[in-house]
Amino acid sequence: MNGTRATLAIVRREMDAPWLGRLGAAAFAGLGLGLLSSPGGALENHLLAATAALWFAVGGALRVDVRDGMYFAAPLYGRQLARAHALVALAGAFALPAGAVLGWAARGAPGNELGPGGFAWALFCAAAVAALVALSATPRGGGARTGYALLATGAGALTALPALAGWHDGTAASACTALVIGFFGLRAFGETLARFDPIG
Amino acid sequence: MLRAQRPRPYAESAVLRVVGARFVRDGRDLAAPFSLELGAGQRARLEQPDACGAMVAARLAAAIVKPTFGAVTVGDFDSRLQPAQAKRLVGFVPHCGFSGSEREFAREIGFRADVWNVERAAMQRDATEILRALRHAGSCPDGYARALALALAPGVALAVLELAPEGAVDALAALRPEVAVVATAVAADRFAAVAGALAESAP
Repeated sequence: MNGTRATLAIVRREMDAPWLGRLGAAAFAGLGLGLLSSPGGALENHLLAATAALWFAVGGALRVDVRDGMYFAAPLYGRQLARAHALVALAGAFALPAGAVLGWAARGAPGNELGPGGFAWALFCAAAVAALVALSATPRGGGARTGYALLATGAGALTALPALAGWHDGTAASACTALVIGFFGLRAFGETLARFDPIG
Repeated sequence: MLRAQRPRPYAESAVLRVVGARFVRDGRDLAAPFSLELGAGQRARLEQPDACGAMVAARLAAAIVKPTFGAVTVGDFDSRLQPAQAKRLVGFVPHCGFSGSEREFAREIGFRADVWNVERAAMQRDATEILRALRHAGSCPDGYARALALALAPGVALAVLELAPEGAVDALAALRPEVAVVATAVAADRFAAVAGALAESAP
């Protein structure tokens, strides 16, 4: 089995026209946020951008169709499926932060947003964590699904918190948090898929 | 010198071996337990008391779900331990068939070629040939024929037909006599019982 070929095939299958439409909508929303951000209110801008990024990241990840019976009939491992779906979810989650960065750059934003320790990096990290944790909700239903969606939002907020609070090296702290939570989130998703029995 | 050898209770050439497979959810068997051994080119019809049982039995045989008790082996691969290798040998045909457009069908062939890691052009050719033959025979609905073509095109050793329509198994056997076939169905007496109950309850 060729893992890369299979992974790319799943990614192409998931990135269909509706997905691209949602990606465009998120990018435009981010661009609007960046362009319309108030010049003096860094915290308000960051809070708004983080809330919107988490909303789009979790919402986009929940739309990933992991229950497609074809995936479970195909010669794929759970971890292969998890990686492919994670790529799709991450690409979707990065659309809004990328749009916001473009907006901030177009407005000539100061270094606290786009500089080496700027908030933009923390925004990307928070969106990534929220998307990866939210993926574990996709094979589930009912209360468990809602619980995972809330957990994903909380994990994303926790990741953005050091940068939002303006801590010294807050962006580095966000990146470290994202690495740890993202790794375990992806691993948990892979194990969920490996154990998942698609019936009905 | 005497050397210990692992006993081999089954035929070496079995494509599918199912030993007391059960699938239990919430303490209830979703499919009637079954055992089965199929060699290349052999066919089996698995009757279950209801549609849910037929779907679960098909998924057990296709290594899509893992048995709660018992074992399912496709080729030399245990469905619990080596599911990806086992599924590589299996073509699963869902009861709903393939309902997409011709364009989506072509895209699906490309997707399966990538996942099964076979040459795209060869798979496209095989799927088209199988579909043409099935349409010519006219033995099963078009959606099911397309799903059958998709399932067989990667060159599988075992085809699992979930709630197969009349004539699908014979058409498949005529096309690919070397492929082992498992078809699941709802037991005929069960149909009769349900029909009888409906007739009695009718005003």
